Amino acid sequence: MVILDATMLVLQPQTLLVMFLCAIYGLIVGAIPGFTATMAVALLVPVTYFLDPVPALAGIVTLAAMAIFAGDIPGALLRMPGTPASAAYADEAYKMTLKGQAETALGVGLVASALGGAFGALMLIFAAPALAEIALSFSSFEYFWLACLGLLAAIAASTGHPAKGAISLFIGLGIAMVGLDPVSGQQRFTFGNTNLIGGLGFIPVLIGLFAVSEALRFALAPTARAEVPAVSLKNLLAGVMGHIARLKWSVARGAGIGTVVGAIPGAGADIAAYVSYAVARRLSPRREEFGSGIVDGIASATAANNASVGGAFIPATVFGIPGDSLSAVVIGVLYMKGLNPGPTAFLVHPTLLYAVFVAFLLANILIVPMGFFAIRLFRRILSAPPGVVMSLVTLACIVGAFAVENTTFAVVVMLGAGLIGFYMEENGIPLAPAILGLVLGPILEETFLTSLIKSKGSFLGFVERPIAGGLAVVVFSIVIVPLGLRMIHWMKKK
Amino acid sequence: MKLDDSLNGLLAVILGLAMIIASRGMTQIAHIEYGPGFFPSIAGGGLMLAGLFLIIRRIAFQGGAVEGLVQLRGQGIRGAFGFLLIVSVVGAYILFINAVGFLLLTPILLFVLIYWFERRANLAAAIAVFGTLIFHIFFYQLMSAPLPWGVLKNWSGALTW
Amino acid sequence: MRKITSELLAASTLILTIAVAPSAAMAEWPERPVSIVVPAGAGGGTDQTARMLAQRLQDKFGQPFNIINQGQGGGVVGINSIMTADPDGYTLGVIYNFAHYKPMGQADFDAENFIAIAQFNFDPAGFHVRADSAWQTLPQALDAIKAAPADYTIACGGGCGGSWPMAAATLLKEWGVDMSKVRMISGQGAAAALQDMVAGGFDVVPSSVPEAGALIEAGRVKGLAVFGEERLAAFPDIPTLNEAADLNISLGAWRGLVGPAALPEDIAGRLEAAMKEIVESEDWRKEMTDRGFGIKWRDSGDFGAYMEEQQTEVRSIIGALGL
Repeated sequence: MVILDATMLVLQPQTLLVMFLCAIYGLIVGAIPGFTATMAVALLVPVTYFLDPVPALAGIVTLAAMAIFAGDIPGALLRMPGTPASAAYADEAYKMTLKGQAETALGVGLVASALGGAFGALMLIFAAPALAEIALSFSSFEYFWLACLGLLAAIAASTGHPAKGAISLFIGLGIAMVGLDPVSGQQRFTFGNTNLIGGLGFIPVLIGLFAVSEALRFALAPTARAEVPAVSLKNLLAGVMGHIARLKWSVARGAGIGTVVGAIPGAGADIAAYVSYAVARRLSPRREEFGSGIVDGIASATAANNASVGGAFIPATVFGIPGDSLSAVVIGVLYMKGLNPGPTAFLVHPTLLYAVFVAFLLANILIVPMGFFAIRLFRRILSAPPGVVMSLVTLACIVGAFAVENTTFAVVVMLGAGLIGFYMEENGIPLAPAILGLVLGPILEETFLTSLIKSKGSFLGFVERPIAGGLAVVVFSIVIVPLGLRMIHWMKKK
Repeated sequence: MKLDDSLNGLLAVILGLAMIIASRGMTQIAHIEYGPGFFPSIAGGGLMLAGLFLIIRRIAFQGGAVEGLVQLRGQGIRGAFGFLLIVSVVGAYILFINAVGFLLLTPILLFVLIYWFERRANLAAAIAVFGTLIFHIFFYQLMSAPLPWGVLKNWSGALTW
Repeated sequence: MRKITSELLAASTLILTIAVAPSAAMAEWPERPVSIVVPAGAGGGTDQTARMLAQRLQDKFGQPFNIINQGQGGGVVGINSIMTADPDGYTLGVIYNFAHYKPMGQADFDAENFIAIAQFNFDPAGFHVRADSAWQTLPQALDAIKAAPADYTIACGGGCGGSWPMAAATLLKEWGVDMSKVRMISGQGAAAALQDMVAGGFDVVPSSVPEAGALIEAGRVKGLAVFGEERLAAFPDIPTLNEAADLNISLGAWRGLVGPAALPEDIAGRLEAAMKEIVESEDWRKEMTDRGFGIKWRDSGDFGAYMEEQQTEVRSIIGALGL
């Protein structure tokens, strides 16, 4: 019955309207190369700040679903993936465009995206509550190990050199430490300044890292408008279902891989797409033709990146541990709305949570009709003068940061974070670990110190409880096994 | 602005060291031997290690080398000016918004930015005015976020609906 | 055409200016929107009650009363904004138990930095333990803690200076427990603490009873006492402190409307009168009860004295706990 009540909540006109507007916004932002889904969400959060919890979160998950799909469009037509999630197969899709098969690449990708996304949403609806039942028996000891797992995965899954991933993570941890410490309430790095006692706001930092840095990069080297090949609606629809029927197992596998990869802390949509593309290639009878411009790998990978969004929401809602930077933002919004994530959320306000899940499912179904229009309108979207877009983005950053925190200081934080984000990206330091560090840092610190007080200072407490002990083994094997493998490899070489 | 990884590493080491030093003055909490300074010193130590690693990699394997140590990417002087312009626009907002007010300051800032990028005065003026109004209507009138009135403060009663 | 438009615009601006331009002497507060600073995030209890209040004040005074959420640093930023605001009546604030910030080194405000307008809410704390706990009554629990204070853990919910842990600590002190040995542990709010207690992490979680409601109904948590004068209508089985332990004290979280200390008395007086009407009105009482908030009226004088008294009490306990 909860599901029925939740569906009624989603079908409220206000919620549907917000979802519709967010869908359009997500399709546009996702389709513009250089704008990531995380950036789109960062700029949307201040707007949703004023809405009721259900429309606000429904809007954000809709945006996420749409933006991940829309990233495929410039990937196929311009060879510029709109979001990093589409990078795995942008090359292949572009080769299809060169062969005159852009419509097939986009049409099949569209339906596969919707199928993958819907699968991820269904897994979320059924798996999350079951997991929450188990998670009710988690104490701070278990959460400590979960947070460790998230941090390790954040470094392991980051793009670029691991040392740079680590630097990003520690920057995020450092940002989170400014203000009152979470256990004793003592001031840290505040220099007695009241604004700093309040800490560096999550949303201003997020907007700075992801959006202001983008504006700065654009200012340094303004991009010209791109030439877009024409796409016909008739060809978009033709033959799509035939391909999907042929590739149904590949799509299903992609959706499954995507959900699992998404649920692993630290790994997001981009990695899900790479993994499932590789698996599809290995298992396909046409593996020789992969890379030359065929739709088989695209279908599997695009199903995976959309499914991963739903997968990432599972640990985010059940434990409050983010799977990727996007779900880290969703966790931030849940806290902001007083819907603190965690297993009790499923007891205290199940209807609201299910409503968000149902909205996410609906959004994935909506990808099909709305995606067709986005593909059709793609040339229009890219014809907006980029200087105007970036100027308005800059203003949106300022007003958004201010509106969430209600202090001018938030704009200062945003600018600082923007400069840091710019520096990081220029120097190959990935942003995602910083965001995960920002969310996980306080959890890690608090669970560590409070667990230690509970166990009267004994570290045995961290492994005494069976689940905590099991998680500890997982964490240590993640650290030790790759090191060991590398050692063996190294010794063999000698 | 791309830096040589020896510089990036050095920055990380300095930042890490600063965190460790700053965390040394923090007290312990009741009942256990750790306190608010424990995690900052771990994070600082981690930063230092990662930074040292970058420096070693740079020296030993030439990893992450940049010619001339610093490389400015983008469109030279014009690009650098654009970069500074965005920073100054945000800075001007921070400094003057409470004195001048949102409705008066924002159109100026928007005009400057758009004109710099697009070089079309009419377009810039139109979007500056309409953009400001839309932001004002959405955030102030609909969502009642307290965007500052500045010099228009005494008329804010009449201008709010 | 363009010229006419611009002249029209100029003329209408002029008329508007004359019509609404304030002349300081004649000005009747409020003539422009009033801000109510809420030192808490959107969606929480303080925000909800403040929004209910703002809407009704708006109806009474005919100007918008806008809520400004400043929850950063556990409310330090928002309370500071109220304290340092221009005392012109256009910035007010809703505050709650704040006495602990100063002794804990988080901020520097005292009761005398604010002018008390009216208190409108009080929620008694509840004493919650696991459903399978051996303690059946409050005295059993208190005696056990008194006998071995270091053996039990008490969750603070949020920071340990907050309303609920302070209520629990006051109770323990009244019972004669050695406060320096009690292990009070901070965390991420009452909901997380209750879940952690269910998982075996804590022995006691003091919080408002409605916050524990879902877990009480799910049969995982039991309430041993509610620290108010009467039992709660929604939880008739939980005894009061007086019934359970023969103590005549009332402990919990309060919320009230305040302004910066130098707020003119006539404005404060008009606000107090409006608040009295609101708190006595039928629809306010119904909405507060429906949302699970307790109602408590204290007028300016009583509220001011109550804040002072709270401040002295809380600060002595924080010293004893060694926070």
